Amino acid sequence: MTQTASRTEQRPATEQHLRGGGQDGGRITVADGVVQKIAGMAAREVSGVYAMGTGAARTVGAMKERIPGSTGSSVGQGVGVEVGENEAAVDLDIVVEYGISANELGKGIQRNVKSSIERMTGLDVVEVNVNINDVHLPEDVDGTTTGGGSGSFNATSSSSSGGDSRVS
Amino acid sequence: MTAQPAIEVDATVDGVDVDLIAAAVQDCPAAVDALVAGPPAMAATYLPRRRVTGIRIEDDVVTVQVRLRWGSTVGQLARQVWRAVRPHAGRHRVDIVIAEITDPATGG
Repeated sequence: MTQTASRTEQRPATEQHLRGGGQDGGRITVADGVVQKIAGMAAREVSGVYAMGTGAARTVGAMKERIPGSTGSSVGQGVGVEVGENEAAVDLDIVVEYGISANELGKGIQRNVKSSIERMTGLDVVEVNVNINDVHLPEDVDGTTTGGGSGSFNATSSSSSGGDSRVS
Repeated sequence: MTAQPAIEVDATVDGVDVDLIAAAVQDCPAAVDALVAGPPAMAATYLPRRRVTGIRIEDDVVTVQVRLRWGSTVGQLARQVWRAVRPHAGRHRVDIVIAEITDPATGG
């Protein structure tokens, strides 16, 4: 039915006929925002993810939360998606908690995001890029560190690493 | 610009009753939260003095644009919508656009 059939073998068979033309030839289109929200929820679910978004996005999100009546930072913050007719690719900006294995966390995020999108939309997720751009250090509400480090350490110190990797 | 007397407006477009389609889609509560207007499909039917959002009929295609209920899959939604709409769609193909998804907290 579709050219990409051979690449979608792991998808449940019940979803296969829904893509690229259903029983009556109708098409299904999934908007970017839908995939973005699912990806954001799936990534946040994974233990070890402290926040999402680049520094600028998180600053704007924190300001929006203080505006009365504002919805605050959205679940799609830190999520970029590219949605085609049958496939989707996802880019994620993540802030991790201190003390986790970034490599293992990245694999866990890729697994959960890929399976969530494929289960809920039937789209084939060809790529999940996880970019870890900060580490959140343990600290009190008033900003003092509790982990024995000096006060000069805070969540915005330049502790970042690129974590781009692909789902095979 | 004076108020018009209420007249029953015939919502039949190209042999398809838009109100019937809208009611049929909203009877798919397990998967569909609501019909939505706006992007990406900009689906709406413009009638005298009112409009039906989320449904567009053009050529041989009925486009239904909806918000997916969190917890349901696109597959469930498509099956329910097709089953509900096809009897009213005549010779038209039924395309489905999932424009939005409800928030997990409110979507059940």
